[in-house]
Amino acid sequence: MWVSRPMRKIRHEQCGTLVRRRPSLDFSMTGLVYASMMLFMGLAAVNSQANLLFGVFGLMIGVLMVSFLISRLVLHKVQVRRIIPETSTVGSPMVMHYAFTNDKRFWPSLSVGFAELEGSEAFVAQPVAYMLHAAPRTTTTVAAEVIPKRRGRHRLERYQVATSFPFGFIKRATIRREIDEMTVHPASAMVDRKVLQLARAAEKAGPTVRPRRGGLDEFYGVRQYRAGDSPRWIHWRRSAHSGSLVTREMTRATPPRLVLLVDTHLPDRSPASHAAVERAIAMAASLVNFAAEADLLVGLLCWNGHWARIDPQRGKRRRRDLLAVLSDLPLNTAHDFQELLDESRDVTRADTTGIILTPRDVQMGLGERARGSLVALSSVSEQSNRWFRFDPGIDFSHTMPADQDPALSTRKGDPDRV
Amino acid sequence: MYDIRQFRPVLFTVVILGMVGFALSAEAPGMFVLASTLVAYNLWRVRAGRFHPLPRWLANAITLAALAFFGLQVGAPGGTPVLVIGRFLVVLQLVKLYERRSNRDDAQLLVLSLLLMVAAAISTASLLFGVLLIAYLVLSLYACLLFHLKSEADAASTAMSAANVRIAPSALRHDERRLGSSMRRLTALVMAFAGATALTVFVLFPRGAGANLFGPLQFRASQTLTGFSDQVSFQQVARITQNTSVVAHVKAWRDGKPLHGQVPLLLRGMTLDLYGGQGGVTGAGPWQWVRSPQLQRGIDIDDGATATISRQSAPADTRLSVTLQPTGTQALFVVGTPITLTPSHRTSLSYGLRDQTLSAREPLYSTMRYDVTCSTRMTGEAEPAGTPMPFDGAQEPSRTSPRSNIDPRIAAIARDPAVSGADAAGPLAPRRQPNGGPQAIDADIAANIERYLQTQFTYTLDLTDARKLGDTDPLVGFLTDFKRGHCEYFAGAMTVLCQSLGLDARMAIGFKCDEYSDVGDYYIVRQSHAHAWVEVNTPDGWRTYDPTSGREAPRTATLAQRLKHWLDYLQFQWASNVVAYDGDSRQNLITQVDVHLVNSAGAGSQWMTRLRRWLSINIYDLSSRVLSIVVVMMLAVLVGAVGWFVYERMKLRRRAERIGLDALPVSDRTRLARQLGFYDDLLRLLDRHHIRRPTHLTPMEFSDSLSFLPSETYHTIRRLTEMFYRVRFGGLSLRSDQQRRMGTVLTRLADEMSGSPDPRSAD
Repeated sequence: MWVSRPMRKIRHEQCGTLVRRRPSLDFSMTGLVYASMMLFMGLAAVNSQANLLFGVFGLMIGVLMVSFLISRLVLHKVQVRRIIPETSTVGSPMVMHYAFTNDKRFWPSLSVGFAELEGSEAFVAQPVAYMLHAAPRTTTTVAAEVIPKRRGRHRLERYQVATSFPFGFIKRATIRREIDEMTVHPASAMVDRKVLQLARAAEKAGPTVRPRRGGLDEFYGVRQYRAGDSPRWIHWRRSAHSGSLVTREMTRATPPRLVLLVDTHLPDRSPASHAAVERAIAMAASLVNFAAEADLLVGLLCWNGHWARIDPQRGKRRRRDLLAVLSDLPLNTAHDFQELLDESRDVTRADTTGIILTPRDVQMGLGERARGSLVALSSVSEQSNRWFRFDPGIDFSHTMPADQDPALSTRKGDPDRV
Repeated sequence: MYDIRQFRPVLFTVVILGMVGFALSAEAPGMFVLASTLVAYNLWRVRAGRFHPLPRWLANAITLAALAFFGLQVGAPGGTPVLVIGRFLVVLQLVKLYERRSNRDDAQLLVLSLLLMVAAAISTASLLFGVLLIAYLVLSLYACLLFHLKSEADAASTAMSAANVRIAPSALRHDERRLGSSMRRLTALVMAFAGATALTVFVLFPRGAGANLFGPLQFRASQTLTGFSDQVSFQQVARITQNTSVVAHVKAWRDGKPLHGQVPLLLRGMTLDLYGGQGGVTGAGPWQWVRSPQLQRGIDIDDGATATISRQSAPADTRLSVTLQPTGTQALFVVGTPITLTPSHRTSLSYGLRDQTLSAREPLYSTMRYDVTCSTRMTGEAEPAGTPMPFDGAQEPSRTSPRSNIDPRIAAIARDPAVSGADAAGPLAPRRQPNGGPQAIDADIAANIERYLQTQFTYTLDLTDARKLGDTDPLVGFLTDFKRGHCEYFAGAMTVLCQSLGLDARMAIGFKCDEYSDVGDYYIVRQSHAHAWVEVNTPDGWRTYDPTSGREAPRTATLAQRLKHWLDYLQFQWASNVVAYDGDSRQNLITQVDVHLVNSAGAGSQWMTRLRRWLSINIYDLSSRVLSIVVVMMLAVLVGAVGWFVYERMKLRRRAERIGLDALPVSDRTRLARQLGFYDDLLRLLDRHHIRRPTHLTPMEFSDSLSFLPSETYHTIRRLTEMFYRVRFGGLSLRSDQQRRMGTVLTRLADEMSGSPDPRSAD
């Protein structure tokens, strides 16, 4: 089927991802130049009546015809399967793989390009990959490296397989459909350790907590010197008294238990408000990652269609659960900060530090409600910029899921949209 | 392993091949050496990592300068535009090679190289070039495939890195396993398809229409012959070369019998009878030979028509079939007097009534084929009387020809009895009647002069003596001083000696061909066969004398000569069937195919009619016989099918026993025996290597016990065993292609095991 229009460029929105879709059959510029040269050759042959030129002219016609044949052959009897990671993070490069199976008995497939047509809005650029060669009856896996742009669950559906092999004169493309889903976590920042200094240690919460050795806090006791111990920690007096080297052991503070209170309330649908909320969510995700790496107990309270409460726990699984919840946080225009604080009474116990991540500046007046167990971090404050260092390339005004993006939402409601 | 990095050497090879082709076509070895050196130097710099591309401004400046230079040359008189354009393309390619930065430059190089080959193809008809062109086209197609892969891979990496992502090397790594085999298959497909199309277009494309639509771009050599010329002045030293390029191929018959090289052929192209001497005569400068004005008959011959050329009474005794290469001259070569002529295409000719030579109206710039019948007896033709004859030229030439300006010393030599001869009655020369027309004594005088020159003078191509002549008549110098020279000296000297005695003599120039090819059954006429001899008018007609001494070529055909003849035969076939393929050839081919098809259809129809008639007569016998044969065959097939079924069942049952399936119901046993054939093959393979599964071990335990085998072999057996379990207990059903793949794995396993030492014997 001939598609007369040239390659279509679809810019979804101003903030959208440029999606290129090739026509199913098209002549390239190279092909046009070649066709012109072929005509020139034909004219030269007719003019000069040189028989060799007639042969060359016929050869060029044959090359053009065989281009049609081979480009069709390359895409015939091939299967493509996406292999995508289960999760990824906004702003961090991820690798998608395409497994290309050539089911033909004899003929190879060469120079095939893949491009995602739907679901590309989740990424900074349209995911594209290129496969050089798949021998007959083999499967070749090629990679596409992309940067996720929006958090949330994303659905990849249609993709295009295209080739201009063998000579680049003719471009042929087919559209395939395969549904895959992936979760993109909110962006993660480098977190300053000072954030944890705001959180109180768990042992201060009660007298029954037993101190544990292995830190650098207070004197715990002595033990036999072991090779490799620092000489600075040798207790010389006891060593002299006992006749053998003994070394000091110190206690370590019990790590704090954290509950992240994420305020996602949007007072208005302005880009600045959206960016502030998204930044607060990303700060929460960063703290989850940071806490998991530091082996801390971390929980969560946020509006997720209902007030989602997750008790503090440690471990990779808990981290994954928390990030999944943060990835899917919906648009919240009804449940404000006060409601969050009210809900937090049930989750902030005496041994837990609640960290409020909010898009508004709530430094003033917080002390009365915090009772020393709440820490407020505003996503719009200068301090949070110093403590959470995000990749400067991340644009928080567009990191929300596509259905929450005000620009995309208004376009979707546009009755004139084709 | 084979990868896209091959593109660079292939590209350089294509560029060099293009330059070789053009140098071959333009006969410019110097340009080839220079260009190839520059290309090789560029390649060396690239490979050594020392290549720095020329700045664009410098490259552009060089290109503009070259454009101006060659633009002036195109307009220069005598220049061949297509060759000038070719030289410009060579320069452009060199510039592009030295400013090569990106894929775009590579693409331009490929296009320029193709255009260069086109320019070369217009200018030559050489077989060597044809072979080179085919090699070039195959290689350039291959280069185009590689180029496409390279440019697409580069474009893909650019597209993937468009979002400022630093691409991990693993993401850009491509699977190049079996890429070589794939590329060979596709190149073969492209070449087969494109070659078939090229052949079709070559054969069927209409010829003739549109020729010279955009002006004459073709190669127009002013004079391609080096040995043969219509100007004989004895001073053109450079022209006397041993050029062995082929001028014509001639098949000859004498008195109806083909000549196989027994006698040399004297192919006349032109005669010269006026010698200018020191002062020159009308139409001839000093020391020059010219042809005296004479009556010309104009003849126009249509395609395939036969025209009568000469009306002399002597019968035609010789027939020639001549394929004449482009000579750049007007002369057509025949033996003796041409009687009839049949050219391959429409031709306009002139025939000299006095000297019986043929010439075309236009110089020959393309291959010409003609059949001619000749008479070796040249009597000349009487002046036309009665019926008016068309004359070439508006003004009829004078009937009284001017005479040569002959030095008195030559006349004195001619009168010498040692030269012109003597008999019992005394010297012959004084006895000849002046101005009496051809006399009986003329033949004897001419024979004596011929003998004198043959015996007293030496043949040489060394013309250093001729350079010292100064103002002396070269023929006087030849006869009196250095007494050696080439054929033009001999023939010229004899002609003036005869003319000084009043004989009617002329110098004939053409080719003396004594090289015969047993391969193609034709005489090969080369430039080095160019020759001059003398014709003297006697009462019996014009007689031929060849006074040149010692020019006979060796007659024995050496191995090198035979090889040369083979090459020449190929060249002849190439020139006849490819280069000279024209509208007539196309029409003939189509007609032949048409006739063949019609004949085949007619023959088929007749055969069917005969068959039907025979059937109508013998239908009963035949039907009963056929019925019997069919019944017998069906019975045989039935018996065979039953036998085969039973045999297969037995095989399956045995296999099931070997695998341990004999306790299963029959249907399951049969199905699994079919599916698990690969495991049975595996057990038999192991058995051949003295590894047998004990009955108390399960297949998995048995595979575990084979850890003494090489790691790869062990893992293969392990995977096959796992597959066995999936089929036997997991309900998996193998497709036919999967079973074939299993067979491939087993074959590889057998190879591995046969290559490794016997594991049991190692213990």
